[in-house]
Amino acid sequence: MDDPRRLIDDPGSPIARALIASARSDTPPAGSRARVARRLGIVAVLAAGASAGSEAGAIAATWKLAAVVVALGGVVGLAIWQSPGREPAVRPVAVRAAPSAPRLGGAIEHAAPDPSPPAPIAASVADTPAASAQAPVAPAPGAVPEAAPPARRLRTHTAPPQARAPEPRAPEPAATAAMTPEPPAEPAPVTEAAEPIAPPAPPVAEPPALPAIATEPPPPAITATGRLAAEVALVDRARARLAAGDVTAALAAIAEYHQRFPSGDLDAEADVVTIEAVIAQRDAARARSLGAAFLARFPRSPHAQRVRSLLDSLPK
Amino acid sequence: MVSEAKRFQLSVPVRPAMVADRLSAMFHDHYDFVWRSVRRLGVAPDAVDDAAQEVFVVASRKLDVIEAGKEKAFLFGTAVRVASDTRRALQRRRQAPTPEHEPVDAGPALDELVDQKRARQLLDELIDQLPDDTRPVFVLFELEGSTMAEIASCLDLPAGTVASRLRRARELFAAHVARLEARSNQHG
Repeated sequence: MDDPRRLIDDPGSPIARALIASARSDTPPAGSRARVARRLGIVAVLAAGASAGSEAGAIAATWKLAAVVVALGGVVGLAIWQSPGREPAVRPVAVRAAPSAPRLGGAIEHAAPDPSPPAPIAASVADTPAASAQAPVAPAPGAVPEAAPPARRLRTHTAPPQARAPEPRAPEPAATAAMTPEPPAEPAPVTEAAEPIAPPAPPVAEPPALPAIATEPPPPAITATGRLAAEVALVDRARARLAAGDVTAALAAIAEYHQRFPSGDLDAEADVVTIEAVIAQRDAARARSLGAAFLARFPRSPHAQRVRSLLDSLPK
Repeated sequence: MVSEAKRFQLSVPVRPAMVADRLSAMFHDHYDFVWRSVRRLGVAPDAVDDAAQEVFVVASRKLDVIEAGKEKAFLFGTAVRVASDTRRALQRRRQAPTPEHEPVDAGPALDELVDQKRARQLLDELIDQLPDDTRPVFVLFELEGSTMAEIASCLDLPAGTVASRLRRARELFAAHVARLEARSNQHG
């Protein structure tokens, strides 16, 4: 194939060249990479992301850095939990907890290992092919801590009741975590993650995730990425059930999703499934109200178009 | 609490090291590329992070089917779809152009082009006016420096289709630029 001369190499078109050249220097703004990595649960990149937007060094180096962070603080979750001030006005696809969430208490509380599901997570997703394919499901010690504004979510009539607000099991890990010295909890901005964070916390017996990581360091991203995979598996399961016509099971999967991931990264997608399920129940009025709530909350989501067509398809 | 330790053990995944490594590696190697791509493919500045994130979420669920060595192609293909969804979502909302997104007719003087940011904005507006099917080809060829053979493979298109779309995009782009040039000459 004979490639034509690129505009950037074409002296006959200075304006076109200038325009094209302007794009080549375009890079994500500072913080973008770290922010998205954090949302995706990709821990290791944060250390590399510290070099602000550059295609930072080798992955091996990243692991090393991340391992250092782990070893130093033993509080990956907290370190990832960047200071709220760094969150820009842009709302994530899955709207996150209000950045104004109580900083210290919130961080500690939610950095505690996901307290909600009593059943082994692996078991709960093992029955979907997607889940077994993507299997990584983990207690998410490095997972992005979430603060959970309870009113944010679409709820359905059929969703099983969720005892969310006072999480019965939550106090225990939270209380234990509260024993952690406070300095490491005031997370150094991630850009400085390689700086000494704080003296290591004295071994805290209860939350197993942190010590477990500190003593036998696996690559820290595993569990965090596992969290995303677990989210994906649950939403996929909901979709599969819905596709199979089992609306109740689909909604149950979504309810489980919301319970386990109060501020999950797939919130928007979970909401779309919910709306589809409600439509399958022929509850047009409810679908409309859920749809409107979705569009108000995620107007710019890649899923917004889907929701609009769903709403358009409803009987008038 | 008894179950915590057990749960940790039970739920330690069997294969995730590979999976996580791969996603991390893809993110690490290609984040800037994905970010740039969705941006150039027409996603508004304040929605780019979200769209880039969506691309990697999609990738995370398709890791099994992404061939080794084809990561970048997969990401770009996904970026095209995500950008297209996002653009459609926005177009339905955008009644009037937002202040930061003025139509090209606002017409800058040529010397303003030295301002990279303004130039980029203009470029995005011009790319925005290209037909949807030509836009990815144009972006890959002119902005990412891909060869036409690479584009054909990346977008899974016949070489002839790539060539004709590229030709069409370049003609339209040139026409837009010519108009711009004419106007800036008028302005002095």
